[in-house]
Amino acid sequence: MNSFLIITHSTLAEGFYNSTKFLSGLTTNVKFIDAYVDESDWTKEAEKIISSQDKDKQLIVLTDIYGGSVNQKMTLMLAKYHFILITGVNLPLVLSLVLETQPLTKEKCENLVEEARRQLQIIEPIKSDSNETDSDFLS
Amino acid sequence: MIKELRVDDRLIHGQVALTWPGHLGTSHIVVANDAASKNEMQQSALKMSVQGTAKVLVRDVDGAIKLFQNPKAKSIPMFVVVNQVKDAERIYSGLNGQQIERINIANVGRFDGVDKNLKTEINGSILLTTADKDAANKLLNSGANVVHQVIPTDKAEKFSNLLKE
Repeated sequence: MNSFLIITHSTLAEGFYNSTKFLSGLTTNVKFIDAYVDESDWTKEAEKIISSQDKDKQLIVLTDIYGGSVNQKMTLMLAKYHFILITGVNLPLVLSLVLETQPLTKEKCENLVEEARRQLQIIEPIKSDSNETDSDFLS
Repeated sequence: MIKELRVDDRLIHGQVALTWPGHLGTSHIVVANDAASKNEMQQSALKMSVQGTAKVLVRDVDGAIKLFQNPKAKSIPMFVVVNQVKDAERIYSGLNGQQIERINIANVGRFDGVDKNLKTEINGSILLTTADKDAANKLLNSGANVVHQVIPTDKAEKFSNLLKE
């Protein structure tokens, strides 16, 4: 249905892949590139994946930093190939994307990005409502 | 009605909250745990994992059994989480084996502080104390449907096969 390519500076991409697999088990359509871990040109691998993309599937490319070179290079590739590029990737975003069963449109991606953005927050201690009754729960 | 009674040593956590309620089609989660029912901080932390996507109620094991006996509870599909097999067995026998579609022993015994040498290691995520092993055998002998399936994309294994090995 949808497929994903995560590209980051060094091994974070692989980490996103591993954590997504651990949490959801849904990684058959997820590929990752750990950029700059060696001398090789990772953009060639990225272009190969993007150009051989199955036309029936929507490809989403996720990068780590807006101004970083990974995202710069992928932005240039947007002119040549059809895919959706999202930067500032976080784990909640990856999870909501892979859990999506419908084809992802740009609009749907915008909603998921907004949801994932809200996950970035400072946590305050909370008080639980210990007076919750069985009937509240069952109503 | 209990769609699934899950044994998980972390109770509700990312894996559980993300995948199971959707998979089971339930929006009611009950955590049946004696310690958590007395600890407000832990209750708050447990509720964070679902973030408004499901209703969560934390009760001690006896309180949970009482809840399941409420006539209203019989028509609501529920996902129930405990952190040890003996609590699952208490619920099963408390309800005379009724209303429970499946017991899933997913993860158990990794963080209870009990010496690993005193436990039976079934696989990497299941370490049974003697009490838990007895409870598991008791469940199997009463004919309960007991499986091991960590996440929905895993294959459900019959727990009786795992115990034999």
